[in-house]
Amino acid sequence: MVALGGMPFLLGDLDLLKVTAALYFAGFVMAWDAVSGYTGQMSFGHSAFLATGAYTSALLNAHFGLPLPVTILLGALAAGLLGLLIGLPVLRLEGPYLSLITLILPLIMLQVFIQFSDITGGESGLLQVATLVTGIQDNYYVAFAVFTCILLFLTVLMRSNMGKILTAIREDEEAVSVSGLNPARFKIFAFTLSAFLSGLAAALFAHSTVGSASPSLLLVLTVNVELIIAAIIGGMGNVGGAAFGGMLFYLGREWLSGISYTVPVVGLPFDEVYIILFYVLVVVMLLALPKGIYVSVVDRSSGSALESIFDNWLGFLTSLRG
Amino acid sequence: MVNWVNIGINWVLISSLYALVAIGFTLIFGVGNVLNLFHGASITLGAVAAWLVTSVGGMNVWLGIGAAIILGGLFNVILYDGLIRRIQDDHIVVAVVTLVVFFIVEHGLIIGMGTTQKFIPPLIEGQTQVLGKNVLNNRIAVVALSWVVIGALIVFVNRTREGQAILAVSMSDKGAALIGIDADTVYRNTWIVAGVIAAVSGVFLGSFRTVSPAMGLNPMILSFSVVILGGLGSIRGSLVGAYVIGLLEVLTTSLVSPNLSGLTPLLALFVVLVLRPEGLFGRGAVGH
Repeated sequence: MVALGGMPFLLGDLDLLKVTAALYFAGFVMAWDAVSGYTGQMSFGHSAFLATGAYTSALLNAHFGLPLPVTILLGALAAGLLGLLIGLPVLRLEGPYLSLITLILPLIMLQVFIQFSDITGGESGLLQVATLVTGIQDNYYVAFAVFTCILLFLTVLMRSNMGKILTAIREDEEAVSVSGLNPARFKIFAFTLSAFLSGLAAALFAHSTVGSASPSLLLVLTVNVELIIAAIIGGMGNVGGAAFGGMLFYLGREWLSGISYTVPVVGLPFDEVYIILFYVLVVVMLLALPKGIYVSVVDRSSGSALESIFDNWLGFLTSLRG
Repeated sequence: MVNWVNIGINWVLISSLYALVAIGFTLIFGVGNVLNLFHGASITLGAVAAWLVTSVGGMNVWLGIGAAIILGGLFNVILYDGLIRRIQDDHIVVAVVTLVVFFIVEHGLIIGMGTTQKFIPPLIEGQTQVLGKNVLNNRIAVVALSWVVIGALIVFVNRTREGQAILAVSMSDKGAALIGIDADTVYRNTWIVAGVIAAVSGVFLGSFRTVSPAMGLNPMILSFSVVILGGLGSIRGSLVGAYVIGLLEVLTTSLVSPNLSGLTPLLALFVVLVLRPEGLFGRGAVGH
């Protein structure tokens, strides 16, 4: 944390912008993890909440001239409300059904956005979004504050009884209802909270110098896959794991896209090459470390770290031979 | 003046293709309880194989279908043996990994063939008069062949040992294991069958639309609507679902606005999942 706070003194402007964007992304991942990692209700469509927060705030600010702090809060509330409305019917569904319907949600939204292109800017998104603060360092500190607040809030929440109940729902929903608690209520609470936090972080992201309100940044299918991959790589159902996975995923991809420009492959589009390389790495990581790096290595409380990472690799290597 | 004959022809055409795409998807879910989000890439691979054979190789379109069958099946065997077999207990990881492999293939194809649209020659040239309207023979061939493939699949599942093993595992994997069915072989067979039909549907699709690296995504998403409406895991449900979703799609695009393509099926899916999540012919989706 101290290292993250001191980043502006260590890094150049360009790198600082990357870390700023990574902090927002880690915020999205933590918000996603609060429902999907903890309760096991896999959402493949959290980008719908990201987009709701960002677009609501940006549009209210541009069309009605409301001050940014107000519109950002309204954006977050709109995302939370959408989460509640979607969560009520959808959380009754199990496993693959839940995955499929949440996957559909942002696709419907994108179609609607394209339909009302004159307001939403269609596929290119909103071009002129006001910024909350100017200056690269100031923007970094806002992102850092957002990241820290979400991290602290979720850590405290998940260490309370609430966190235990949510984890219990993932492990054995029937046991939770047998002990007199209504799992549906807690799932809907977690879903709504997660949608609210996603909308909040995305609205702040849209009003920063590193982001804007556009489908490619906040709505398309890839965004959802990236959130899930980052959470799995970090370790699902663990606030620190989600934060770590988000930073690692985003910065890892940035780093990889940086070095690929020096690779002397003539006639190939570099963007595509590094993306392929990156996705292959992701598949290898998903197979090798299903519990996530953070949970396996950093978070010592959940078992002997080096031993479990060794076991995972050993298992992976034997499975390759078998 | 609304052209009902055209709407009807488009409906039958689109729905038959949706049925093909959806059956493979639903088969894998029914047997392995996993979502194969790579399915759309199988469609693309089939179309690309046919394009390579016909345009680059200068050969007959029917050889193109053969190439598509081989590539679609081969890719799914590699995918299943290389990755899925190790992770199939965790449906979340399977969904994520198959989608990531989809992206890898899509970006690989962008490098290999570029993003300009490619074409596959029609299966049969010329036109025929149907109810006083000219209809391309290719469209008639696509509908007929789709039903040949569907029919062959139904015979395979109900009449052959391998097919009945697939049915048995989809009903109860424990029961199937008890009577000596090797689940692993059944899973692999199912992935091959699904890959092959998706690839064939890709050739059909490419023969009256265009071939591009991203062409498989939308049909796959529409097939979600089809299988959810029909009930995940049910072949009969997929057939009925395909014609309902196809009708919705064709009616909205031709009567309301072409821009709404894809929206109504998704909305219909949303309503179905909320009101009747197990679909028309499916197993229960709401537990406890």
